[in-house]
Amino acid sequence: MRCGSILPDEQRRCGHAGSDVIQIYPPRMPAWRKPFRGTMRWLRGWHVMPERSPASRIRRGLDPILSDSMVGLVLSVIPGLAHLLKRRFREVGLLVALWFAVLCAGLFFYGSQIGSLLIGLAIGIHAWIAIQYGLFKEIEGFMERIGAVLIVVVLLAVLYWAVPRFVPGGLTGGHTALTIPAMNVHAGDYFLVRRLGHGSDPLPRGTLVLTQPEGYRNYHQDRVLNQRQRMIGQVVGLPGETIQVVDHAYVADGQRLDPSRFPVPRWLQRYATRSGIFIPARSYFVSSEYTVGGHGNLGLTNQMIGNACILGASGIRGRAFVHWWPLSRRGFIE
Amino acid sequence: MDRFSQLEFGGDDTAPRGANSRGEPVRDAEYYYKEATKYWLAADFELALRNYSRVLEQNSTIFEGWAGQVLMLIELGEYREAGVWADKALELFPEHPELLALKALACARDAKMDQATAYSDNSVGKDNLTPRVWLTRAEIFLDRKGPIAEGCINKAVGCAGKLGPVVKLEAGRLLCRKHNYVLALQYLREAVQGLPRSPLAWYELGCCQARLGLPEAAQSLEQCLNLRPDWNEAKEMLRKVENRGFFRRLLGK
Repeated sequence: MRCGSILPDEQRRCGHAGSDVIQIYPPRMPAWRKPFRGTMRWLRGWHVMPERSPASRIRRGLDPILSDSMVGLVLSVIPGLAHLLKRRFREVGLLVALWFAVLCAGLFFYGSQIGSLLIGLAIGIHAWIAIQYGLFKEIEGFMERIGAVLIVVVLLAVLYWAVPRFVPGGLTGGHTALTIPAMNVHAGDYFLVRRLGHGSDPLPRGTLVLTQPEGYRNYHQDRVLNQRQRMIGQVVGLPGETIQVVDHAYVADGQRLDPSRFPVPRWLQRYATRSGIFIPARSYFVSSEYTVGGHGNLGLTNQMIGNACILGASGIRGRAFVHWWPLSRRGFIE
Repeated sequence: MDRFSQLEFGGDDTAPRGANSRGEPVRDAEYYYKEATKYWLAADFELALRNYSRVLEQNSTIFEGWAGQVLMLIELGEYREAGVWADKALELFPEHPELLALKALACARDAKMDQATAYSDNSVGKDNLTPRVWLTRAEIFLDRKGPIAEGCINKAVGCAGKLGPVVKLEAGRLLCRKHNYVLALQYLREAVQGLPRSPLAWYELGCCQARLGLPEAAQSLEQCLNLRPDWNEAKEMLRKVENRGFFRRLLGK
């Protein structure tokens, strides 16, 4: 006899009383549970174990939390799903449609202020759909309601932040502070970035990459390196090369690079390198705009510049593949 | 359908209602209920449970089917499942005293005495009490408050009516379980008189007699095995009874 069945499958039917289907076959205990339950019963009989096990106490404590509205809230990770399962979708159908439209518009304009605003609005609509399922029926106090709304909004914001980073293969994005005339890139443009996996192909010169500043942000912080997080930079020097800045242009292994394709950022023009900077294996010289803080006219050393610009594989988060914003320059990067 | 109305109290082997001389009997709810009761009294609780399910398959509004399922789950030692199923039955028959009593019984057998007492208290507060309510109360109180328990058993037997032999069998089993063999023997003897074709009644009587060191135990168990030859527990018990030495008989083991 299998657990959960009394009759063989082909004989298994449900009785009917009126229009409701009634389950008439009782559940059965799996055989492996028998000795455990027997032991617990024996212990309870000797008053070694309390009649209500700690697990059931925890469950009782969780019961109010895991109420219908909370389950609805969790299911509302997908807007309208909880309502759909409870056949109440009609209540929120228009809101779901509105959410979808606003989200699409937000994604279309992503990278701009309008895009951020629209995505924020989508989060708000999503939160309202989730809350409307049943939470407000259970929470009556004004402050409690405000608190619940804030918690839901924050959780959804985290969700919206995390989903593109974890679900579709590590999609992310970033702004650039560089202006690259040959690539029609201007400071403030937004790029979509695909993360690089381990063992990715070597990056060619000129690739736009998303850099991770954590590795060097605090290094000689008083001198260099105050960069916005998630900045798009340009690969200028390849592993094994020596990079120099001469006359507002990069020189890689003695070869001058075209400044319209490989522009030197302002901070490097000001603190031009006196000698070459060697790029070790599996590292790149990534050109990006930094804010230089610190002690006035004191010059930067090659070591400081190297610390800022030479990035290993762990310092490069991903490779930009779509020029996303502004709209007029939207397109794939060749 | 009156509970146990189809019970074979005597040796009456008449064909089920609706049976014709050539073909199978009509397999309706009554037929399956009768089968379930037969298997219960033969201590084949698994088959009894299956037949109670079939009763409900035919007609899910029959209370006896639900109560029988819960009771069989208890007999099979599946107390938690019995509780779950009693809850389900209570949705259909709210506040039914027998279902509350069965839930109490499941809790009591699962050594959850506080819950058992609460359910039993609830069940005795209802109208139209059944023998099961009093038997359950007796089981709960037997360890702690003997006189109250005996009073409950008397009440169960008193309100049993036509179900007297079955209630006496249950009372005897209960008393045996609580090691009150002398009183149990009395009930079980009366039970086998009312249910001469019940292997369960003979088995319980045999076990009780064996515990008291009475020589009639072997006879009762043989009678049980005549009625249900494939019952291994009875065979084992008979083997033990027959091989029992002087000291075991003296100590009632």
